[in-house]
Amino acid sequence: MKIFRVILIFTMALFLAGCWDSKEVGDLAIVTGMGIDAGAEKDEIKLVLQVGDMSKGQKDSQGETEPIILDSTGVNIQAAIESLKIQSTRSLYFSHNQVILIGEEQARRGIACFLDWFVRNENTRMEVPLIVAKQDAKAVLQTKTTQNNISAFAVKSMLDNDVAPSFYSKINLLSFLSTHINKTTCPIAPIVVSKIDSDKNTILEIEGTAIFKEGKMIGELGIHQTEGLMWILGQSPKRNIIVKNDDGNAALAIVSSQSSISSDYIDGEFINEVNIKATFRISELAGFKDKHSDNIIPFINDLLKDDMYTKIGSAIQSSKNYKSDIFGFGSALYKKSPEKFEQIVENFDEIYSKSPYRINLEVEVLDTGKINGILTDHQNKG
Amino acid sequence: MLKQSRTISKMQMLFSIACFIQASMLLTSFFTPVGGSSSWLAVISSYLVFAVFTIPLIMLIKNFPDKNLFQINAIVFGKVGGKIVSAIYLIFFWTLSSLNTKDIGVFLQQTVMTKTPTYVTIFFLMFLCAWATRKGLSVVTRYASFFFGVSMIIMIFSFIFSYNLMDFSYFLPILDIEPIRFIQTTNVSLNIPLGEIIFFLMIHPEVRDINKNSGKVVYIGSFMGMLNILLVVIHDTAILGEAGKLFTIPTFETLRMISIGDVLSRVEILFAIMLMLLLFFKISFMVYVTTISIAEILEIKDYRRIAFITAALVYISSYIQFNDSYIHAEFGITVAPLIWTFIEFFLPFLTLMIFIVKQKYKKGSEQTA
Repeated sequence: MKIFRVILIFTMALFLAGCWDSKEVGDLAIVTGMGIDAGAEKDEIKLVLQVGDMSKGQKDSQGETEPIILDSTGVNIQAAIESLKIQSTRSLYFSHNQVILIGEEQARRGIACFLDWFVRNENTRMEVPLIVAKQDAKAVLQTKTTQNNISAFAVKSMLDNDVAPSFYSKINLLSFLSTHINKTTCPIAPIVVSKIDSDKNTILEIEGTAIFKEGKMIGELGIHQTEGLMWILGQSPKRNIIVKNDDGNAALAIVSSQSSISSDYIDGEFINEVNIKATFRISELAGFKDKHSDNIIPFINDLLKDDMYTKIGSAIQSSKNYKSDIFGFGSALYKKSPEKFEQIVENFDEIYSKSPYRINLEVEVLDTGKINGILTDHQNKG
Repeated sequence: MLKQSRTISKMQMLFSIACFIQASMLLTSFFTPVGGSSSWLAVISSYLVFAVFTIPLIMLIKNFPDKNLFQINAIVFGKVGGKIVSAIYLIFFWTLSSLNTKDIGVFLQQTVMTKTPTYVTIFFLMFLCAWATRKGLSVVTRYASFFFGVSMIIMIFSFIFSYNLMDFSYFLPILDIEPIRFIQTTNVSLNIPLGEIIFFLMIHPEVRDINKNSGKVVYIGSFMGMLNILLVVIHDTAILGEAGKLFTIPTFETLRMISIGDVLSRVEILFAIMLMLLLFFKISFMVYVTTISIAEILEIKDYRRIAFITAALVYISSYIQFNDSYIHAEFGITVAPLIWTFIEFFLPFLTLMIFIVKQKYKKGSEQTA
């Protein structure tokens, strides 16, 4: 029995060590960003991979490794990967992929057929953001910004941080997929562009939001409309709101915000309602010389309301023009009254494009910062 | 007749039932595509139905505290009839053991050991199960409370850390499901995790004082196990919503999304560990039951002699069964719940009814005499 146990232990140590197919880090091509651009043929795609070169250990002055860009074409993602495998001496490793970038041209051709690979593959993750690249995905993946050599990480942190619209961090493969299979709600994705700024530095910037329908990009919202979209979806922009008129301007930080949407179908009309409650703190105030400290807050409140109405209304109007419900009004009706939803689901897009909407805003400026009123007003009194 | 001595406590049986049921959390994908956002309600309703349907099982334990299911069959159906009914149970035990073995093999290959052939992982698993079986029920069930505790902690941990990913509006509108689909979901949930506790009718003679409070042990144990399944279903629905129906292992997918800052991510490995622990327990228990069932039918006095043979049979059948996971899932949704209902609930009910009628007839004839 003892001999049997010894043999067993040796057998298990030999076969269960888990190292039989091990690969050293240097043998891996760790994919940090994936891009899909339109191929030359209509049914062809160009797969672009940004790969961290771990073998060289080459570091630049900022201590970051230089990424390598690989690309190949194929009828689908796996076909393109297969041809990359022939070119590459290392094994492609997708578990650390940070972003999926789709070139605008390919986004307009359609991406539904490629979602399958991302959902099916055991190395991909559902929390990876899906982004549309304004030019093509390769251009964004090749970009080296002053702060980050690896653009995939730069884009990811841009979406996650508090300065940029952090609601984009919630738009990932899962949210895209969920809305894609939803009967009425249309998927959205941020649009990123690679630019040269006035100091000749390359920068990456979020330029708006792409609207998808039936797997194809059909339109986009500008940055102001995107702000409206964020208010409606309950993801207020994590930055100061700038309001201005001819007399002056103000920067207002959001202290708290809540939003909800509701929909109803009454007498053949699909009615949508947006309710937003937000409180603000004044970060900066300039101008408004004709205003006094005691009436500036109501005045700023009105300016804020006008600004929010414009942005929210513009976002809704734009989505109606595209006949694409990106806010989930249809889902809200389904959750409230499935019977009413059944009445409109067949012809939803048409009904939605003609539906009236109401925006209820409750806006309050609570805090004026360390000083009361307007600095210029104090100067006049002094 | 197999001799079974009282080796485990009621508390061990309670935790064994809990672990046994929650080990089926991998199979929630059998009913969540049918039940959709109402699956959690179907899980609750299945427990309520189970509470009623399991009364015959508890009554059989109370009436035969010293006899296992096969011995009860021999008493109730006679020697030949009993063997036939027991053979049906044996096939059921064997099939379920193989299917669960197959499940853990597929799970390991799909998630953590993607390049290791399943026949290697299953081989070592079956070896361990056979070894545990040879050591007896007390060894098989010894760590049930530990496994239950670990899996509950992992479940609670994943619930807390994935709370920010949850959207509870996915549960609306409540009960927006065709009645027939709700019944189907309830039926799958009733048969696949809950009804499988019929296995415990083979070991109750080994539980000390089982004639006292056996109902409590069954109900509390199954409730604890079901609570974990319910948590899993709520967790998956709240994170994945409609997309949940696309995934073969939805819970694994949800846990892959958890990351706590840059410090803690890839926590799905905890779920993999939890499932491996639970399925190891469940399969060991099933192999033990299948082994003593074969011993009982073939009238082998020392079941330990056939532990490795049984494990080998389970290993082989798991390897040849359902090589297509889609067909396996279809079987789990459509065919299995119907056949399982007959074996898990109807047969014990029939056994109890015949026993009661026989008892009455016996009393009547005694009074007449």
